[in-house]
Amino acid sequence: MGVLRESCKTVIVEPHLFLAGVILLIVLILVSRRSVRHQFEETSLFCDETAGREKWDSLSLELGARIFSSQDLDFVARGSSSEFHRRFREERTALALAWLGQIRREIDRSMRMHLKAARLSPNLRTSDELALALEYFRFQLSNRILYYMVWVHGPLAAANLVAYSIRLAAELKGLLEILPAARSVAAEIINNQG
Amino acid sequence: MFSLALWLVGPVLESALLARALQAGFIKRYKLFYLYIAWVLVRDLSLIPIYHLRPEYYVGAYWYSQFCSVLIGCGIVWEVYTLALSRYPGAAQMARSVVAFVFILSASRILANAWNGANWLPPRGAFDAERDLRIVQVTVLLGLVALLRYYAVPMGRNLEGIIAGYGAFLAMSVIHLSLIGSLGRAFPRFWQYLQPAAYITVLLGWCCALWHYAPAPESAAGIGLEADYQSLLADTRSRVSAVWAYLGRAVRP
Repeated sequence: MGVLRESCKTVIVEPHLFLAGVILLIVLILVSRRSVRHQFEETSLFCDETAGREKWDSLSLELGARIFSSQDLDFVARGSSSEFHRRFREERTALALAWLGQIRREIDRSMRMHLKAARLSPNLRTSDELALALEYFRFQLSNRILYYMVWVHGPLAAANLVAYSIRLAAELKGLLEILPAARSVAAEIINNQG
Repeated sequence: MFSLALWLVGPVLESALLARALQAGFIKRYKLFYLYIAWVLVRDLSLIPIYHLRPEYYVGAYWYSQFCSVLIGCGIVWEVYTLALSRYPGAAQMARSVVAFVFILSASRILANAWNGANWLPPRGAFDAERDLRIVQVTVLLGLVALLRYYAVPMGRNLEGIIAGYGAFLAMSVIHLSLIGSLGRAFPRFWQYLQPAAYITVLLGWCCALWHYAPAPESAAGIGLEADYQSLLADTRSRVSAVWAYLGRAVRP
């Protein structure tokens, strides 16, 4: 039992073991997953299916603002039953999730096309590719967090939460900017009194 | 008896790998990988008589030949890089930067530990030294694999088998050496069979993946996109930025 406890403690405390376990898992997952061969013929809400590069349909993209706004919900809430209100919220949640999934797929598609061309290009610049990769991962992370928030709380509550977080971040930033100035003013007052 | 069986199965599978590659005529396609297999086979066959006839030399022979195995094993990572990326100059350029960065990061940390600690040189620090070298190898391999997946570089059955097997072997070695280094005499007996058993599983996997020659498939060129990388990059970035802006506008009406 003592040896088992020691083994468990070693697994928890020893970073090399943890690292090796994670690496083993990642390598096996990365290599055993079949590469998904996406078809470029898939239909899209946003793309104009003419020859050459597809164009973004900005109307479909702007749907997002309408989906997340409270305008339609407020209209439906006036003079309708709570059951109808609930059904409307469910449908709007499904629509918001579908929209988020669609824009994520569109970006994935664009990135796949970019990567398939970039890997052949001898003029590739590492810094540009890394910057694009960071932007892409930032988008993926934000999209998925928002997807989860919409799934749990619905689109309106998720939008309110995002707006609140952004407001809070702006207030904190303002506070941090004021603090050094306030400290120097306080120091000056103390020096003058002294 | 069981440990002897484990010890003998390894050379049998290694011989089968080499014999099949020679017979089918693709041994030269994966020169460094088969060099590693050949070295491990020679080493295993040499250590068995040393262990039985001259046990006092066994520990030294084991550790010095093990370091040679680690160095020759680096050739496998190099071979993965050259074979997978020979037709993709852009991805190869990224790999040089990313892998160099990962190598410098992991190697410098280990060199710093070695400089500060007294336990790095054999025989006392042999476990730690081998473990640290294996960590550098596995980190570099992981960086390379992540890049190959990111750029969707087709690898083929043979190369995927080599990567999966060698990656699993490296990770098991790090776990095994860390446990020995930490637990010492309290190292459970059953763990001593686990690494050889894991290595035999890896050899079986390699036999399956490398029984027939299956190189990376040729991918379609160009797909009719712009040849100019800068305009391609600008176009992709503008798409990501546009969708990002719409996403922001949607949740902040």
